[in-house]
Amino acid sequence: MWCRWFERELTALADGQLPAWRGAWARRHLLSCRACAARQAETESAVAAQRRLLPRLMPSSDVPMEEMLRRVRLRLAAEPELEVRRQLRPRLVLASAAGIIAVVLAFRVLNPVWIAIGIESPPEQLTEKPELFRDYQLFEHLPAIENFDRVPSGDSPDEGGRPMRG
Amino acid sequence: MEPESDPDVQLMLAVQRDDRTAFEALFRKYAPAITGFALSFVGSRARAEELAQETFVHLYRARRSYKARARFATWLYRIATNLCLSDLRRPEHRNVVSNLGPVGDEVNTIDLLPDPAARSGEEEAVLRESLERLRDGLQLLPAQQRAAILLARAEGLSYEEVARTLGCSVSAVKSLIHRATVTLREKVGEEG
Repeated sequence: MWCRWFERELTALADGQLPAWRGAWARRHLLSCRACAARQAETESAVAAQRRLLPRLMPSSDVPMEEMLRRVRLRLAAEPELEVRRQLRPRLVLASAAGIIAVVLAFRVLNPVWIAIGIESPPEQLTEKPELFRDYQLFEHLPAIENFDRVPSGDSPDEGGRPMRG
Repeated sequence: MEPESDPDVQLMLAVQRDDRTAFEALFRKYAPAITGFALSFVGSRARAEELAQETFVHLYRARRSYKARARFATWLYRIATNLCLSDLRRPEHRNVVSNLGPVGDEVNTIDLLPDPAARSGEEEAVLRESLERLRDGLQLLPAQQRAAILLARAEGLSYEEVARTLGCSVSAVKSLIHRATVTLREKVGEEG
């Protein structure tokens, strides 16, 4: 089982792609394992043959270079805007996103201003009782307002008073 | 090779500065290899040439994002491999075997052998047969294994460069190449 895993290392060793320490470890194993040593000989033979033959499967002598280059030039000339558009696109997206965030924030932060100048409607409860909206200063004296039916004892309204009898 | 010492990296940095002469120099140097690489995937010369052209169009368009972290060839083959693998996913390529065509239809392997006059007729015949079996074996490989073994054994990239090209780990590349090696060895025999 361990030697089956080692087969992968044999291919990398034949390709010269193992780090030095790992290659040394692999060669030490080959000295002690006849089966792996036999497999290594087959692997090296196959790797050498593939290195020799695979490049010959790729034709490079009869490629119509000038014609291909002409077609590449035509394509690049035909679509220059795409390149500019591609560069602008991320910036446009960022600018749009920033604009949307700014508008949303503006409406939330400047909400009282929009209400005051009539762009937005006030909340429903204030529409029903506009005097509360206009007379918001009354809220400063809310404790006195809540206790308005108590008989003042001469103290300040904020301190409240004794409730009325009867 | 350090990226800084790769002359093709310097050319690509010139392309980044919109130097078309540098771009065409890179095209002339790599177009044949990229065409051959693409042909191993798509089996059609015309489509392979289109993919090679597409690779260089993509390269030019993406020039501003190029960073000289590795050899130029690694970046170029990454673009080419992605295009080839995408092309393979198209419906007309699902039946891979049908793309092979008769032997010699798209690729006359004999014409590719250097100095054929130096070989005897028998040697030529044996070599042609090995190449045909190797090509058949390549077409049977899954796309990732095919890409890995071509990049490593035909284009001479290191395992680390293959990993960068395919966007996977070196360990994954080791497995891909090992499995591809075993399959090709079984298909071709001792010669491959």
